[in-house]
Amino acid sequence: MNDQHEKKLLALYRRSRQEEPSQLTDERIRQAAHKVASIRSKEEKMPKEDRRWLWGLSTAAVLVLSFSIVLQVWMDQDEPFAVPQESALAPVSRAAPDLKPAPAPAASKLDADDTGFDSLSGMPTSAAPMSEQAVGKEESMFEEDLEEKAAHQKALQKKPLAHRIEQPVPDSPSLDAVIIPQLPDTLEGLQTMLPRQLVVEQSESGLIVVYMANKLILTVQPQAAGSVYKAWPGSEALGVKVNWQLNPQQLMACKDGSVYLTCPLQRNVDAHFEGTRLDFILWRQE
Amino acid sequence: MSADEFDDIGLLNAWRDGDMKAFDRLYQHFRQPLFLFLMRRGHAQAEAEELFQDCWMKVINHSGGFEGEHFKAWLYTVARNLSTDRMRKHQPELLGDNDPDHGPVSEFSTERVREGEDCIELVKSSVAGLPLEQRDVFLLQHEAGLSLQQIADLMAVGRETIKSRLRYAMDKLKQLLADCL
Repeated sequence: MNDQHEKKLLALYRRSRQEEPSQLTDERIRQAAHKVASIRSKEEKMPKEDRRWLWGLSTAAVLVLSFSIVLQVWMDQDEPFAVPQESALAPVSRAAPDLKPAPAPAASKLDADDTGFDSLSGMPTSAAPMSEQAVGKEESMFEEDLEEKAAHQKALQKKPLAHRIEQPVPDSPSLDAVIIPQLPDTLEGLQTMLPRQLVVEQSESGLIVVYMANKLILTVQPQAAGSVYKAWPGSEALGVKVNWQLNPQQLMACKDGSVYLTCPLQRNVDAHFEGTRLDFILWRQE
Repeated sequence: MSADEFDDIGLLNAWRDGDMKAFDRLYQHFRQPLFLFLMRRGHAQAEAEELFQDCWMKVINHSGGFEGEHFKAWLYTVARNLSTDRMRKHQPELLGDNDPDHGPVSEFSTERVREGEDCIELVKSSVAGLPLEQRDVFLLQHEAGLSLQQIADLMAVGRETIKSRLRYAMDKLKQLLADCL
């Protein structure tokens, strides 16, 4: 009886399904979809001639780039050989005892026959006569140069890296992009790393609060199982990167709580919305 | 091909690769159920059209971000969120304050049937009269064709809650439409 009623009810409901969107709406949606599809289709169906032309161009670009890199590496490796032109070659140079450092190879009076080195490339010539003593000295200086160079390169490598860390993180095209830095969960740890303009306090309950110009930007609740962090707009100063324009409609699996609508952004990271406004993000740092 | 076998992900991917016919098939498949979902949820025709269009625009513009396995569930999530947002802003009364997990309301009126109102019209108004959460569950199952688990995931509540909401909704509708059944 009950099932019969249910079937009749659903049949009645199906009969009530009459409304449809207008043709104008259909047209608008299809046009938008076809526009996107045709852009993608054009990318896929580029004429073969164009592809050949692209292939040629890209191959040439790769070759030029590769050659530049090889040349650069080769020139860098040559530097130790170039150094002796200024100093170490003096004892073995018969023709130019008072030789001064030459700014450019063309201006140098050095000659391959005299020095045992090619003035343009700095490479030793095969016919160059060098005494064993001179060769030994040359080798030791070459090793010292290499060490210096390695140390210098190490310093150079460190520099850009540090510079890169201080750079603001570029905007991500993703709507739900969020970057969470590793932050300390102690008052001391935060005080050490935070910029001067930020104020850090810890309440009796243990909650650590970070203010910027009297505005709350971060709280940390230290917990053994993983401290809980909450970040508000302004927390960019701590390296937190969030698209605060996010809308819950752009996200999935949102849960409506009594106050906030909570949507997961990443593993262990949730966005809390008040209505459609992103109020804060919460994450647990393990 | 049955509704369950409908390869929405395959069509979505084909459209992403530039196949326009794939989108047409995908759109045609969801066109009426999605529109009816919005209308039965409580929006007037013009507003439902607007929301319907917004929903598809989101699909078109953000489908790249969809990596899941259940396109249908995602589509209805987007539609439901847009609809709820619209109600919050413009028609908070539609959201209602009645308890979605409450049992049948005995004072449901059947006067209109006795007055000769068409049963088709009555079924529409009866669905519209359900508490929003019960209405959502009813529509997501019987209009969208989602499974109980998918509805539970979409509404972020337990499967048992969904089952009881569906039961209450059916009981209310049966009570209201008794003269038509």
